[in-house]
Order: sequence, then structure tokens, then C-alpha cells
Amino acid sequence: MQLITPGEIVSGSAGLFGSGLGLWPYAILSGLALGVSVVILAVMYLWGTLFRNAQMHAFVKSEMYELGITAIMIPMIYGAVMAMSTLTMGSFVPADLIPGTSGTVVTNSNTLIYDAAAQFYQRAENDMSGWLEMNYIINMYVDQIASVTPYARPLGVGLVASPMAGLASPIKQLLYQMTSALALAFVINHAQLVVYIFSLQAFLKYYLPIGFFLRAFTPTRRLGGTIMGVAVAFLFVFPAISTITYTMFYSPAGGPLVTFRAMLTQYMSDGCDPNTAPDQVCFTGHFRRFYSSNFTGIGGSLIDLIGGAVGGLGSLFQNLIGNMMLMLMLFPISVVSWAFAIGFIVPAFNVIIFTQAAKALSKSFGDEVDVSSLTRMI
Amino acid sequence: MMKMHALALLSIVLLLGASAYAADDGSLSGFFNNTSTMITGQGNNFIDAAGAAGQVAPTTFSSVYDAFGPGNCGDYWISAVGGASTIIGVWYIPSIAVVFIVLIGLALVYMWGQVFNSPQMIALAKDEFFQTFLTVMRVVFLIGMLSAGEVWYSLRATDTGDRIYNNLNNKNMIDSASAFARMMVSDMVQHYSMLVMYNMVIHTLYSSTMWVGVTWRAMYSFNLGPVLKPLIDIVGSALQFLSLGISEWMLHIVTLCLIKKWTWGLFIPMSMLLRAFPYTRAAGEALFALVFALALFYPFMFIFDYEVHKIMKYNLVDAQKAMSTFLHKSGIMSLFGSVLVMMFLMAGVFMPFFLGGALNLAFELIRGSVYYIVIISIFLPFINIFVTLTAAKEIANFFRVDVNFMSFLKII
Repeated sequence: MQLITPGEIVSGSAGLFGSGLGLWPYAILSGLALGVSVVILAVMYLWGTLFRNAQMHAFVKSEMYELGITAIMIPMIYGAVMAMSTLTMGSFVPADLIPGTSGTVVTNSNTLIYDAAAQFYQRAENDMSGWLEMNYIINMYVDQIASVTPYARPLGVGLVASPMAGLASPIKQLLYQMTSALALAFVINHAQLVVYIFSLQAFLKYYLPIGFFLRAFTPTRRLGGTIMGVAVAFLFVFPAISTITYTMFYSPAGGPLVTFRAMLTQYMSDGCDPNTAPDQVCFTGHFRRFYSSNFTGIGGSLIDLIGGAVGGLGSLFQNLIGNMMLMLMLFPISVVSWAFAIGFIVPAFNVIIFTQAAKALSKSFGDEVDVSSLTRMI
Repeated sequence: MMKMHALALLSIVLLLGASAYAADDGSLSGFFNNTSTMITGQGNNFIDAAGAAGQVAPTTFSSVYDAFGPGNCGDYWISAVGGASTIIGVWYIPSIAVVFIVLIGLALVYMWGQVFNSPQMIALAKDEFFQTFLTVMRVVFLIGMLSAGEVWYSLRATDTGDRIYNNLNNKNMIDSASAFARMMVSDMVQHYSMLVMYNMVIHTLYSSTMWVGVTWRAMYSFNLGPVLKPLIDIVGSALQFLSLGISEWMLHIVTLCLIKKWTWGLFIPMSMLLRAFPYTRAAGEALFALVFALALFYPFMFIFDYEVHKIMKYNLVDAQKAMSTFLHKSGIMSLFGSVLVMMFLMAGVFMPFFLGGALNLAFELIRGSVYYIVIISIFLPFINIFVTLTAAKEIANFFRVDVNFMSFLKII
């Protein structure tokens, strides 16, 4: 089962009243909410007429004025959402900064902003899944290296040891940390995607109509305005900052993540073989060699081990690790730092911008809500 | 009885044969030399931005370091070649266009206010004009502050003979800050590598079951696990924390890269844009404050850290030299397996090796690790982030925005 896309939500195809109706279903819901407000005010007016209460008449008239203002807001907000729902990446960011296509995630100049924002989280999620898979492949390799146990005791004198465990154990620890950090970053990233999809659906369909309804009456006007303010922040600011973050990390003009991704692609690709391309360092070549012909080398190094207890280990290390040492060490470390950048640092920046906008908007529409406490989520 | 003697004689001959096989005692030192040379070379290229990831984005990678080199971040700063025109073309023109649209809108509001004689509208238009003026002033102030910082940096750093300051690839203060971050990653990776190498040697002895006996029926085995376990544990802990330190400094590189690449290209225009509308003015102010702090204070704190490190590093032993000396001069590599086992049976051989070489080296390496973990990865970054966020908070207060930047401290 797949999440509905933002495009489907704002186009109304995933709405209550079937597809092809655009935002009309949501606007109709808001209109119905205001209609209920009108009915209630009409009843109050009748009540005032029946009991000849001038004060109630005046109250209803002032409420009708606020109702009118609220009614103007419906086409304004939904119109703005409609306008933004047709806004494409080509009109929002410079052409050089449009991230492009990766796998099933297609982002080009025609991609809608609402979809592009979701694509950022999907693409980060895909990357993180790839890193986790890579982690398992490397872990398997490292685990096998760690458990190599040469028996070097000719005629009963000698030793049985696991010399590679000293090198592989810290790397296994790194891989474990990488998994933990990635899992957490993956959860945070996916949570942002779900919050985004939820906020589009919920604020368009439920909270905005409720906000319009509540804003029509004096006791609940501030609450309604606040809900509307937060809704506007979710509908406009959240997609905008997510899209901008997308361009920062994934634009071909050179987000630093692109370089990292290119390096991983080269290192993990099948085309890289240290025998044919010695200048390029890659993992798969070593991995392949480890399983094919390297056991003869290991056999030779066993003789070395018998001959020179520690000195002979060098052949074993050279055969199994070689110039992979830096890569094996730095891979998990660098993935952790990336997971931290995408999963913690950037969301923290975005939360600050978002909360400030939501705070100002809620204050403008109704009452100031302490959304800055959301920064505690960091 | 004769048979037993013959068997014993045969054993001795075979053992001598094994030693005569000429124990490849150079292979581990060869591996060590190759690996440490490779790590040093690639680390130096990384610090000097001289490798594949120099000032352009690399297409082929010879080292994991390349993904963290200046690469795409090399050319993006206001004074860098080709940077300014791109930035002005892609972001400032739209931002200025939006500001002009806002100004035209305000002019309309003002005229509307005059026509309908509404003092409220006139006041609103005037206030918004003033806010637009303030936005421009803020950008001018930021440019002035950053220029002053760059002038200070160039006066302070020129002709110092310093590796980072005198590197032509480091044009601005933020380039030097990145170079220092790369240096820390490289230093910590070297230290980490030496600890791994050391762990490798000690772990071999730690995990060994050593066998002594003539036949498979009458044998004696022992291992040195219990005595070496504390050493293995402390080295393991040092490795674990050091890896976190490396990860943290890589994150600093990424953060500096993002700041350098997007301050002029995105953050400032976006702040201008957000500040142009009353509803998003607070968000614009918050972003302005953050940009002030990140573009000026954050890189400056790295220069400060570099100066501290230049003094402090003399207290550290050169990990590569120490490890090389241990491997080449302890004699452990020159022994063949069978003799090693018999020698370890005698405390007179084991104790000098263990106390004189292995233990001393372990503590020297751990001393270095503590410095890189506690000072470089915890204390200095804490000060850096604290100063940066406090600056952002104070600037935000000055702009009259209440932003809870201190939540970032929890990240530490």
C-alpha cells in the first residue's frame, strides 16, 4: 500500500468527492461550515427580533461582518493553494538546481512543488535504504574477515589465533553505529514525509473548514484564526522549505550529497575491478576476489604465519584488506555523518523557520500559538 | 625408546626447517608501511585540497576522502570566480524582483490610503517601506561584517608560513575553517588507523591459543587473554569514541560546505524574501540571524580552534612513528611461531615486551585519542556551537524576534 501523493491531495483526486474536482470539495466543506455559521446567526437574529433585543441584533451584525471577512478568506486561501499546486520546479528554482531523476523518483522542471517536497523525503529514504543494504554487505565481508582462524602449529607447537578480529572488531562496531544512526535518521525522515502528507490532507479537508467555522464566532475566533494560520504554514511554508532543502542536497550543480552518492556508485558498482583499474578503489572487486582466487594467497600467508608468528600476518592482511582499510573504516563513519546531516541538522533548521512562520501567521489570523515549543522536538 | 628419540629429533629438524623457511617477517611491516603511507598521502591531499576533489567536483574517486573535499563547495562564495554572477543571476534577481513587487504593492496601499483618507493604510504603507529599508540595511550590514572578517583574516594570515593560511586553495576564512576540519578528520583517521593496527597485533596474541607439545596426544596449551583484556577494552573504547569524533568532524565539513555554498546563493535571498511579507517576517528575521552567526562566527571559531590545536599538538606523540617503532623494533615480527610460543611461556621474555613496548605504546595512543575526543571533538565544538548559537540568539533579540536556537545545543 502506497501513501497518496501530495499532487493527488491538492488536485482533489484523493478527496472525498472523487477525482477531477480540484480543491472544490475542500472549499465546499469550508463553505458548508460557514453556512452552518450563517444558520446559527440567523437563528440568533430571529431570536433578537422575537424578543426585540437590539443588543443581539447589533451582535449578529458585527458577527456577520466577521463572517464576511472569513468568507473572503476561503477563496483567498484555497485560491493560493490552487495557484501553488500548479507551481512547478521550473518556476520555483533556477534550472541548474533542479535535482533531476534518480530511479523511480523523477524531478524535472514540470514537477509540482507539492510533489517535489515529498520527493525529497522519498529520495533521502531511498538513499538511506541503500546505505543500510551496503552496510549489510560490508558487514558480511567484515564478519568473515573477523572470523578467519589460522591453525599454525606444526608438530604441535604453535598457535591458533584470530588475527583479523583485531582489525575487524572496531569496524563491526562502526557498522553497528551506522545502522543505529541510519535507522534513527530513516525514522525522522519518514516521519517528516508522513507529517507532510498528513498535513496536506488534514489541513485542507478538516482543519481549514473547522478553522473557518470557528473564526465566524467571537468566543472561538482566535482559536479558528490560529488553526488557519498553522494550516497556511503547513500548506505553503513546509513544502517550500522542503523543496529548497531538496535542491540544496540533490541538485546536480553540486549539493555535497551528490558527490557522496557518486562516490558510493563508483565504489559499489560492478564495473570497478582493482585488477583492471588499479587506480580506482572499489569494494566489489575485492569482494569478488575474496571469494574466487584469494584463498591461495591465504594459504601462502598461513605458511608465513608458521614461519613468522606476527610478521607473517602481513600477507593475510594484505590479501584480505589491502588498500581497502581506509574505505572500510571511513564508509560507516561518513554515512553516520550524512545521516546526521539529513536526519537532524537540516530538520532542525527547517523546524525553526517553520515555527517562526507558523507563529507569525497564527498571530495574524487569530491568536499567537506557542508553536515555538515545537523546537523542543529537536 | 629409540623411536621416541627419533621422533623428537625429527620434530626439531622440522621446526628448524620451518624457521629456515625464512619467516616472512617483512610482510606485516610492509602492510603497515603501505597502509600508513597511503593514509598519510591521501590525508595530505585531502587537507590541501590537492587531490581529485580539489576545487572541482570529482568524477572518479581514489579515496573516500574525495567525497568530503571542497569539490562543489570550492567555487561558491561571493568572491570566488564565477560565483557572484551565478548567485546574482539565479537568486538575487528574483528576490529583488519580489521586493520591488512588494514596494509597488505598498505604493498602491499608500495611494489608496491617500484617496480614501485612511491614516491606518498610510501608516501601514510607511511602516512596510521602513521594513523594506531595514531588510536592505541588514544585507548591507552583513556584507560589511563579512568583508571586515575577511580583511582581518587576510591581514592576520598572510605570509605566516602556515600550511592552511598559505594554501592558495583557501581563499576565505571559511575555506581555512574547512581545511582545519579536514585536517582534524585526517589526523583522527591516522590515529584511528594506528590504533586499529595496534589492536590487530595485540588482538592476535589476545585471541591466540598457544600449543606446546611433541605429539598430538601430549600437549599443553595456554593463552594470554585475561592479561590483555583490559588493554583490548581500553583500545576498543578509544576506537569507538574516536570514530564518533571523525563522524562529527565530517559533519562539520558538510555544514561548512552548506554554509559556503548556500549563504549568498540561498539563505540571504530567502531571508530577504521571507522578510518582505509581514506574515513571514519573523521567519525571515530568524533566518537572517542564523545566517549572520553561521557565516561569520562559526568559521571564525574554527580558526580559533586551529590556533589552539597548533599549540596543543606538541603534547602528542606521533602515532605513526610510535607504531612503526613498535612493529619494527619490538622484535615480535622476527620470531617464528613456535619459538614465540615457547618464549611467551617464559615471563622473562613476555614482560619486557609487554611492559616495555606494548603497554607504553597503548597509553601513548590512548593519550592522543583522549585529546582528539575530549578537546577536539567535545570541548571545542561545544564552544563553537555555543558561541554561534548565542550570537544568533542575540542578533535575533536585536532584531526583536524570539527564536529558541538553544534547542540546537541538544544536538551536541
